[in-house]
Amino acid sequence: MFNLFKIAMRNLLRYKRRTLLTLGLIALGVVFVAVFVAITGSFKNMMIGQITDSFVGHMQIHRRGFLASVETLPLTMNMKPNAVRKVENLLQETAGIEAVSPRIKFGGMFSNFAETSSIRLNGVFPEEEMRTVPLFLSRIQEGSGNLNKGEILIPELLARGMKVKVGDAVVIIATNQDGSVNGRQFVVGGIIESATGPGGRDGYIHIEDAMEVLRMDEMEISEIAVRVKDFSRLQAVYADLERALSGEKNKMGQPAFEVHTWEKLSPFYNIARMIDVMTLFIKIMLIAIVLISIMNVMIMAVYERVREIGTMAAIGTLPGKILSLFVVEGFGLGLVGAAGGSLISCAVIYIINFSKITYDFGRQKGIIISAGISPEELVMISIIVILVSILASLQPAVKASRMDPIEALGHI
Amino acid sequence: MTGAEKKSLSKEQHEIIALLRQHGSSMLQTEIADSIAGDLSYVVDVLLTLEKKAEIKRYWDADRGVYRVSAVDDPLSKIREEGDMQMIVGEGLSKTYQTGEVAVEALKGLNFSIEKGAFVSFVGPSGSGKTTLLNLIGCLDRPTRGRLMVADREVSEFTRKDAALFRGKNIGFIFQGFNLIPVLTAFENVEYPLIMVQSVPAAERKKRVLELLEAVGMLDRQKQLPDHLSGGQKQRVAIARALVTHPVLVLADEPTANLDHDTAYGIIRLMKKTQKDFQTTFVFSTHDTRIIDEAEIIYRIEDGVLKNGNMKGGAHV
Repeated sequence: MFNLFKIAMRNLLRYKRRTLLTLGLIALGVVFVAVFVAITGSFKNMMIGQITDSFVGHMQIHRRGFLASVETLPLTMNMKPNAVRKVENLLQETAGIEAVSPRIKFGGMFSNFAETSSIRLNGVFPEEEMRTVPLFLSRIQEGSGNLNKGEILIPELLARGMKVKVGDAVVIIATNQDGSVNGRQFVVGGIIESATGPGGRDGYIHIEDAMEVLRMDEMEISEIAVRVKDFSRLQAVYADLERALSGEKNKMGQPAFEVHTWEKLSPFYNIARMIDVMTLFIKIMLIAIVLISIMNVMIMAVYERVREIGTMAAIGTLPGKILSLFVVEGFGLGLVGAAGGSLISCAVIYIINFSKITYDFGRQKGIIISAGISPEELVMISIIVILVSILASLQPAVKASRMDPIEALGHI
Repeated sequence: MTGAEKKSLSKEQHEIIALLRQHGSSMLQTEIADSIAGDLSYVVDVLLTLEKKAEIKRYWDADRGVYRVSAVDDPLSKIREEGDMQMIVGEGLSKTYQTGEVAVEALKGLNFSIEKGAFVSFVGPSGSGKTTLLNLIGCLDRPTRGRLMVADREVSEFTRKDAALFRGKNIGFIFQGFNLIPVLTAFENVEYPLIMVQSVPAAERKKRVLELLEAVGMLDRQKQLPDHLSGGQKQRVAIARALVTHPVLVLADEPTANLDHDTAYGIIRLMKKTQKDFQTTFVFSTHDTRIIDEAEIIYRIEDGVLKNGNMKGGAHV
């Protein structure tokens, strides 16, 4: 086998310029894909992190049917204290969960005594909310995120539109579960940045204040946000949780609760999928580049070495070994191209990170590109390149191995 | 064997005779003739056809993993003796090429035999059929009609793989254009068949290659690539490559055509010397009148037909 490699490598070096051009093309393709994956991956991870860690959470648990009518935030779809206890017990028994935050979500009217607007509010336990969505505090633009009782955090768009500042007194009016209306005065404790996705433009108050506004005797929870310890194990934890919750039935005999991961809750999941699809297309382009360039080189190699192939066949080289020789040449091109491309990719990614290039996304300004590619992903790209190289060299190799020695020896 | 006897033999019986010739001591290899070895009637049939009677015994040779067939009074000795003498036997050998609607008969029913260890030249003008005949003998092509025995094997019906295996084991080739592999040094070119064809261990490879490079006077240029060698030097390397596998037969198609007069003489003398040193049968084609006389036996071939030529002995037409 070593000798086969030696001969194959010598053959590749026979046409140095052509081999270098092909290697360059393969390496360029690898660099293009790896850097694309690194940048889009970092963008995707950043966005997922922003969404899950600043307001959505990794998962949410609702009473069955709540999500379907989430636009109206019906108080009748809240979980009763008994149900909440059951869910909390199940959450405690489920491994891999770091924090949970119960929320009361409701819609109401927001007044600054001069103007009135609609608002969606979350009543939360501040400490539990911060543990579940740790980037929440980073959304605070003005004031503090302490969220003491009697304080309200309002979204920046509302604050700007209603000309409300931190420390101003405002009134929240909401319809209670029984249909009556109640109002309460709050002090603006902070202004929070709006974010893309459900709940991204909600205001926040303390959960006990929410109970008071809604005249709840017992705490009825709209949703429970969940944070897992290891994001890469999200699907496994979700499966465990779903299995555990499926045992709880409502009066109709249907599952009483529903649990969803961020993917079902955030429209950004579609963007994340689009990024994945784009990455797939870029990989297909890489495959095409490698396939065409290797096939071209190997077809040329076979055509130029017809007499040599005839000689090898004449002196008794079996067709399988002739085939192997050309496949090893293709493999060699793929291997060196992939290795070179991977090294250059690492260098380019390092330079991108070192340069601290920034970009804006929506309302977020100056996000630093933090490109990164996992060794597994790089190895996967390299394996694809090598496999495609072998595949591309197969047709010319088969042609070489099937050559009639007499015709080949007579080739000029 | 008379002509009548030959005709009455079946293909399997021919195969048995070939095996007996090949292995000398009445041995049948099970990998080739398992069914035959299992049923001695074929062997008996052969002997009866030959009007020989013998007590035949069969036994399993566990050490060598083959069936052995022994015959009291050894009536097969004549066959062996006759077979031992011949390296190549052609009977009614024809080759027709179909070019579109036109059929070109390159060889027309050739009958000939070449003894082992002979130094034979096929002489004739271009297009006379020399190369076609060498291609058939070299198992690079198959005859359209007739039978061809090379090194005691019927080669006319070889599959492509069988032919490659047979060539790798039994035949060395020397080409008009030298056909050295340009990316390999002289040493590596000679070594190539031992790696890619015969899988010989490294130490043995080195020993054999150096021995042959010394024999052809190329030891001091062993690290040179073919591009840095003269025509004569390339052909010396090619001769070493042809001999390195210890073939029983070396075929050379116009080996001196691309060489000047002195170099051509040198190459022919080298071929003769290696033929004697290594006891190898050399068959070459040429239309170079300057070197024809160097051959011990000359076959003249014209329009695909063998003519009586300069018969110095050892071969018959």
